[in-house]
Amino acid sequence: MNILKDDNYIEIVMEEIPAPPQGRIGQWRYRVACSQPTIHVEEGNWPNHALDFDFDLFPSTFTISVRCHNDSSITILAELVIVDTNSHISWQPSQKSIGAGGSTELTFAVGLPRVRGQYYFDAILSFDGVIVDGGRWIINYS
Amino acid sequence: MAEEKKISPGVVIVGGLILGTGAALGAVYLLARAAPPPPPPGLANLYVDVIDADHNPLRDALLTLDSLECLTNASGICNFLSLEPGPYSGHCSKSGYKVVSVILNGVEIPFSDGNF
Repeated sequence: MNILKDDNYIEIVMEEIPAPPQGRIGQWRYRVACSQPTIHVEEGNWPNHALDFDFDLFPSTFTISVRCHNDSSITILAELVIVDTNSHISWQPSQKSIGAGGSTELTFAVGLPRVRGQYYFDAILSFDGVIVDGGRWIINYS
Repeated sequence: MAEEKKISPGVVIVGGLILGTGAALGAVYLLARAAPPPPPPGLANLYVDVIDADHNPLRDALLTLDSLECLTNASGICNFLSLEPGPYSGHCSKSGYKVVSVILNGVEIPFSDGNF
């Protein structure tokens, strides 16, 4: 900026930066659903408890990572619900980060079932790269 | 019978002088705040006004002009006086706020991250 001789006037307008939202995880659900009748489907909350903790600072990203250890047509639904809002966002593929606020839902499907037997899925929930929960879901294909 | 209290003319004059001097000093102070003295010949003054989007003054905004600094007062004002005319790097910051517009001498100038 160029200051000229004598008087100069500068007006600066500033805007308040909104504080990051804070939230509480009400539910972290992971369930398996399938239209194939030959697959024994277990459905319910996973893990069998809801995470319930407050953030000092809302994380900038959530990541839900679900890995399937076998080919199947099973649809995996992992759902994270933030108490403060009630919207859902779906995406593919199986791992994605979303912005703060809202809830999110993960859906992905892979190929047709090929081999009967036991399948297991690992689901990991992390915030800003820090794993806060995770576990294994086992289903039986018979 | 109650004794009547008398005020000497000298007390009245001295009191008047004190009040008058105080008023004069106050007026000078207000004038000085409203209009800083013009810069010495060949130099420049920069009068800074920091406001929010609703035109409310923002106090404690930190202004830097090259190596010079000043904080805005309750009226959102700070001044840089007796500057050498020429190019300067300016920056404005205030916790929890971001710069959205910079107007120098009536002309909007580019800025980035509070730098202009």
